Amino acid sequence: MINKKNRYYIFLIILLVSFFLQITFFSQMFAVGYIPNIVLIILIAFSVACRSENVLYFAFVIGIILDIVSISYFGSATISMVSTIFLVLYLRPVVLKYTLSYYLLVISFAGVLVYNILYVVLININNFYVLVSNAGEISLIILFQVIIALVLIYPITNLFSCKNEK
Amino acid sequence: MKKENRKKNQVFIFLVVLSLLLIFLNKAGYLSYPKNYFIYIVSSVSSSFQSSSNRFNDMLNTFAQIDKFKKENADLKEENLNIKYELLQSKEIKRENELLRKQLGFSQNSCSVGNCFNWVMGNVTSRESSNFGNSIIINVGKKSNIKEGFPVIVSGGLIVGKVVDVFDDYSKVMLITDSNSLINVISQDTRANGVVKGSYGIGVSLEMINQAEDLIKGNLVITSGLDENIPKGFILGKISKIEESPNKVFKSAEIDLFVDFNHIEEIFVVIK
Repeated sequence: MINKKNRYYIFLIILLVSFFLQITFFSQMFAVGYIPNIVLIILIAFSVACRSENVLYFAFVIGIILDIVSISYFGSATISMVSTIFLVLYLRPVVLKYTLSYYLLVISFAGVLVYNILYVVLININNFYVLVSNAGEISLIILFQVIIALVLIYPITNLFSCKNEK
Repeated sequence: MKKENRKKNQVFIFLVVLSLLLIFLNKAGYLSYPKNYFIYIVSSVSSSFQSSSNRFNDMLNTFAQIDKFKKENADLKEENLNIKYELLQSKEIKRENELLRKQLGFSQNSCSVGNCFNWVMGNVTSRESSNFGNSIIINVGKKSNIKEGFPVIVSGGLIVGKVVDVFDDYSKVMLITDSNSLINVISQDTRANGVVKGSYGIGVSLEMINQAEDLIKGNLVITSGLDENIPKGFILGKISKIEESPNKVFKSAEIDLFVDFNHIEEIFVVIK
């Protein structure tokens, strides 16, 4: 039996380790644009598995850390991350009536799509020309991120099963 | 369910307001110290991840490229012979150059392109992982006299980016492959002026070249010195493909970069 408090600590550790893997291992192994956003997928998976508004706080913390290490406008990752997790938590009961794999696909698709679109718009808020002139490449990156999320969401969600929650 | 939704909405609104407050504080410069402290923590942890990551990547690359290394080895041996011969020649030219300088009354310490810069060496501690930006964090900052706009190079005089944000012990560097990066350049042989622009992904393109100017495939592209703080003569890459059309105002070209941006480990910040 996992204590609810301990579960959050474990989740935070997993999240932080994934973050460090993402800014070191993954960013070296994959070309820019094709780095799997594991942190976002884990947050979505946790929101789905353990419905709780506390995930929003985790999204906020990880968003702040991403903003601090990035050169983009401060706050872009935080607002995108918090909004995405809010959407996922909001969508969860709506698609809950369908089978697990189906609603996981719908939620991860919507979450990753919203996060990436929101983020790319916010970081180019003063420079829409860059956004428009690179629309093709941006769409490819988002498509890749969505595919990666659809592949990884099911196994990661199973990791965070909250059925044994005390 | 309604109560639950209300709580969710309250937390969401609270966090968005908090984010906006932090954005405001950051803009006003109040977050500089906490950010430096935070980057120190993140960089300390990611340094250990980074060294393991470097070793792992080196191992993977070695296995993947054994055949390539064999061929490269043979090529390098041949190239080495040529370089030795050229080195002998350049020593002679240098001696002759010094003699001529003396005759013209130049100071022994006067600078020429690519020489006499002060630089600070640093290491990459982490990389941006957002997929829409291309930057690195290095472990040198204000304490090493680094300022915004200073160029960052790797060995061989290859420019990789410029400093965009400086903290006490760390700096953020926007790589030339970032979509917001713009650097004024010239083609080394034809002296055609242009701008190297980063794009999403790891490529860059040479743009804004006047139709009247010549571009030659394989020509080196170097910094033109028009950018503040970026001296003339740092190498970016070579022209790989030229795109010209009589209907367009400017010519453009694709550039093959000499630096593997995923594997930059040590850098030098050029200080005037």
